[in-house]
Amino acid sequence: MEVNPLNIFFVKSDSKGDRLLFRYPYTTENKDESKQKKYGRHNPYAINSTEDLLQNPQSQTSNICKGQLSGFTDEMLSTLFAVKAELCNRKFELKVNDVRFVGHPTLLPYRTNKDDTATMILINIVFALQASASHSVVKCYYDLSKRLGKALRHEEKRCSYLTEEMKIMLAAHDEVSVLDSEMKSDNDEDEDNLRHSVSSATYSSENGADNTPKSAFHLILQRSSLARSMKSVFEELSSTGIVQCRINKWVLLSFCLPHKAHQIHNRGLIIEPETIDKCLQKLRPYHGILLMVNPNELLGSIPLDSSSALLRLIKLYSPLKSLQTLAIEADLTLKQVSQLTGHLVYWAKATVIYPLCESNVYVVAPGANVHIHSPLVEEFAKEFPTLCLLQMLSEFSLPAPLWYVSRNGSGGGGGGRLARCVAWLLRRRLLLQLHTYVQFNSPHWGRDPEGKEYYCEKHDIFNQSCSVSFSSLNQMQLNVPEPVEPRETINTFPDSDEDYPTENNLNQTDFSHTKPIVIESEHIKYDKFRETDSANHSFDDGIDVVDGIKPTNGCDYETKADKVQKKIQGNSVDSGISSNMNGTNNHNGNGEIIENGHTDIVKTELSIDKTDSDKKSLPSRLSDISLKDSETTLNKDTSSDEDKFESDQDISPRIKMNGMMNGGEKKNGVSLNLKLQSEMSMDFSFQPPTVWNVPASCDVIDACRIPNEPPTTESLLDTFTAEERAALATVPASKNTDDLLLLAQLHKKGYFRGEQHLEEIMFMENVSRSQLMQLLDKFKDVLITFETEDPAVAMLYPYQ
Amino acid sequence: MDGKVKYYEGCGQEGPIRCIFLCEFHPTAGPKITCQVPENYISKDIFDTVSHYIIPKVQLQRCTLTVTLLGSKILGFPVRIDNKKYARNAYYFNLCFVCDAWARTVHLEPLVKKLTEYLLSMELETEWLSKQSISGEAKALGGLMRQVMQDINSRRMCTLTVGTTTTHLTVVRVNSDPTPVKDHQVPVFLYSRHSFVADQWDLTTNQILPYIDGFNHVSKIAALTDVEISLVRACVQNLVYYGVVTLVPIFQYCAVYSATPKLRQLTRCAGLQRQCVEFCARTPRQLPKVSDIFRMYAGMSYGSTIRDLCRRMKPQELAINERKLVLFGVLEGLIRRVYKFPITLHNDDSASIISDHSQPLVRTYNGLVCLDELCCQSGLSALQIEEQLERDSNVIFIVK
Repeated sequence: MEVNPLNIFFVKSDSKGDRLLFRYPYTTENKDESKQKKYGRHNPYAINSTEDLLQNPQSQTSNICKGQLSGFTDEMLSTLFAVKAELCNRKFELKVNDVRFVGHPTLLPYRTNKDDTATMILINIVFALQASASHSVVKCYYDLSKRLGKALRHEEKRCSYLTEEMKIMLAAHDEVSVLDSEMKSDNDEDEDNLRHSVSSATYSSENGADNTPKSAFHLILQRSSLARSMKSVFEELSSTGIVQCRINKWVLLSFCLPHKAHQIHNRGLIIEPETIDKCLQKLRPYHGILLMVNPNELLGSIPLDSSSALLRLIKLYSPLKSLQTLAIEADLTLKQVSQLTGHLVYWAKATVIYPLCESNVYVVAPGANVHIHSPLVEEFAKEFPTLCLLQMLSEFSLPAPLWYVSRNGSGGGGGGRLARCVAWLLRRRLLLQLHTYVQFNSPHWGRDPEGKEYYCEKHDIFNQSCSVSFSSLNQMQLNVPEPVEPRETINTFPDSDEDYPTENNLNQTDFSHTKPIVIESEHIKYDKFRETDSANHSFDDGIDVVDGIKPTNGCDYETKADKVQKKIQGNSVDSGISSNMNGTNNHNGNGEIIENGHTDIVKTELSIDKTDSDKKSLPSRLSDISLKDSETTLNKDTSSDEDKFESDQDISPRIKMNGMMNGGEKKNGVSLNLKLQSEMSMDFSFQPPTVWNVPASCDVIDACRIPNEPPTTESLLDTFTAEERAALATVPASKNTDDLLLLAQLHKKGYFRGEQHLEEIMFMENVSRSQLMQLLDKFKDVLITFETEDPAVAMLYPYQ
Repeated sequence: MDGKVKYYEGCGQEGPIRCIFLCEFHPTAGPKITCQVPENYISKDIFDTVSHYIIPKVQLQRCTLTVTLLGSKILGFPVRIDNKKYARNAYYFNLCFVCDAWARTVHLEPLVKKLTEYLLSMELETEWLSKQSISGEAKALGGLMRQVMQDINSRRMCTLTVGTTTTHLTVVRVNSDPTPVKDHQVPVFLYSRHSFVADQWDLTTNQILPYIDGFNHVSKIAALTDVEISLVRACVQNLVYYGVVTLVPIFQYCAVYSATPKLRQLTRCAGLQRQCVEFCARTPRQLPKVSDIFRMYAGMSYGSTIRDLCRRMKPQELAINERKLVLFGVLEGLIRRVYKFPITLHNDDSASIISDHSQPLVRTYNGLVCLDELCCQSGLSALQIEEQLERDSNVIFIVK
């Protein structure tokens, strides 16, 4: 509640002195009540010891009475808010007892009536808040005050709007005071007496002074459009936190108080702009967005002059799509998309999620309201008539992939419904997604590569005072590994497929109910679901290769491909699109792919891998590190382009295979696209490369390089220290070069430091989930996994 | 440089008092600074721009005023004394603390008020203030303010003695009210008990102190000390408010914990590791390995209880005390407790089915009471309760 404003004031100060022109709300508590309260505080039987100087007169400690401001006269406030010229155009912040006033005094040139000589006038639009309001709330209000000031300055310059409005307000004040002085001349003496004694300072204000302005402000509200604007600002702030108001029917003032706005959807959820900033910094291309409102309504509420990029993004929105996919489809850069995401999150129109997919693991969020009579239960029942919210939540008591929940759970009714349901629960922050993180069990706990010990700020002090030598603990022993039956890699693929079923019909489920724009039409949404998405990929994992039968609708893609073709950048980032092109070429021919074919492919893949690793190690210039270090290397010269071309050729049989198999599928995930990218880059590698402004965090380009870079086992093993290698040697799985290579590759890139979850590794490194799971299983003696939430997403959850 | 990153406006941290000044309304010169420590921290120009917040109009007398401008925060408590003996029949003064604009100052407000009232009483008795201001030197006042500033900044408390009167000033952290303490919660000291000065606390608190060991829950402490449970709750709540103890969930082998994103700190921070290893050791002679501890924490997830984990990992062989491991994890935020909430669904035919239940009155569960609390209330083990609840078809469990 503390984010709501208590009051809004409009004060002017010019050569004629200062004046409180308008305030809203202007009704103050009536005299009797305040008097009762005064007596209520004291025990009537207590002796009133006037002698006690420290107790009497009792000082006032609160200026808020029943949610309204009390104890301030208008005259007093106007003197406080009419600041000296030195303090103009900067933040004004004053705290009196438990009320905080925030404003931005604005000095502006002002035309007086008689002549056109401009004098300066100071206006200050001040918000009264509860003092307990956090600093970031105060900052937002300050910003709003500043914007209002700017709008008024603009309107004054354009058409003397302020002059006119002030004239109306002053006239109303005068009118009322004339009437009033006639009526209550007898009250004045009384009032004066009260004012001059300290003891009555608190309550005197309520006596005479307030009856006068009450009607004056009422008159002003009827006559002045500026007053009405301020009233609407106040009311919108108190109700939704989103202000859309046109000053003088001309200047549009859009403002959002995120602390309040997020509470519309989730009561008690306070999200500060600082949190949103932090979240955006952690945003990665595999994250997705989940709109809090109906996209059609959102499109309707967006002003006409909004950015077309935003409109495109919302039109293409689906909770199944990653930001990367959205960027490709909406023809935007990743940076633009993440900025737009930040915008949507700020305005409480969206939240950040990992795209919905069936391999996602959800649990009930720790802060979830599971009270049996919570309003959420009703809302849920309205949305999903046959389901019970609490029963639904109890399905998520154990961390299981979504497909498992939908298969076993009573909350069935088809995967589409489940997806809609999960989206609903995610919007209400009732579910939290768990990810698996991997930590390499290194002997160098707590040391950076140079062998220095790292201390976080909190534990640094402890270090200084601690005398126990930690180094003795560093010798690591590994448990004797259980004998793992060495088996053919080929066989392991189907094995793992059992864990991650390939043929569950849930794969075919359409999540499209969550698709906003078209809800009815069946086949279109089907297509939408099959659109490129890393999320899809992540739960299809091995399935990418195994079942290739997917319904397609090519024409959609053809047009897109055409469009895209014009702007093919000859660069990996576009790969998602290029795969679509592939898809269009192949989609007619996509037939059933039989299991044998699958194994064959795997075989070929592996053999290629082996030969690759045996015969060559590419020069380091292609290594991801060099690319990572200098984004400018994207601006490659021709020679490196040729190298790329060569390397692509080396790898192409595998890619081609995959391409043939999967090209027909409309659902190819981003990582699949990345595979196909190399094919594309073969086609287009002679086009001049263009610089892509990819944020450093989006190492998509790295991901594309993996197949192109088969380094030797030796070079990769360098990333392990001697002790680590010794530990590795005891693991039977390390006899298998391929496994070891993959492990070393991933380790080298720092994926085993507990920072990146499996989905991120899959996305970045173009490996399938089953591959990873096998790797984790084989090396479970050196790799430790733990499940926890993604901090970037969890940030937007209520404090636990 | 570093300071700028750390201390921004709104960082919520407390800062030192930069300056203390006494300002009064001079009968001819208007508002002016009588005495300032250190000298010229608030320049004449700045003072003139803000003076009407420091010596404000009549209605704002005796209000705590804080004004933030030009990079500093000025806290004051303006006072007026009406008396014929003064010129203009009144004496206005305001003792102000100046802090940086980024600093939190709420905790200083009562201090300013108390100090002002101390000065006020001295002024009323001996005209201590007005005499000094007329003489123009204000040495005693300056000394007093310097002492306040030094002592509060360094020790957060201060004892002032002027003549025969003495006053004590202490900075008390302003916290939001702690949530009510529940019977099943376990208080645990946030810092070494040796640094706890028992004399400062009341008798009941002293009585329950020896039993706060990080494992006894509130109702057990009440039973052990033979203190009424509501008193124990109040004492613990009081200790929580002052940041002496914090509350952790009760340790049970059937409890479920989940790793948090903070767990990865354990792989990085050597200080945390050292602390953890020492804390979780069964004996100080044999310290466990960090990797084992990390494995234990990593094994904590939804669906696996501590019992399962212990069976799998055998912490006693790894020299790990699993109770301390859990306690450390919760205190450091490496893991969090996952609670189980029974909820009664409202089915219309529910009454007839459970009528033959052992308990005469069938309890409904509204989703606010977790199993721990139920155990504590009923005195049954978690297993018994769970069995009982599972027989009831209307009860479902939500784990969060």
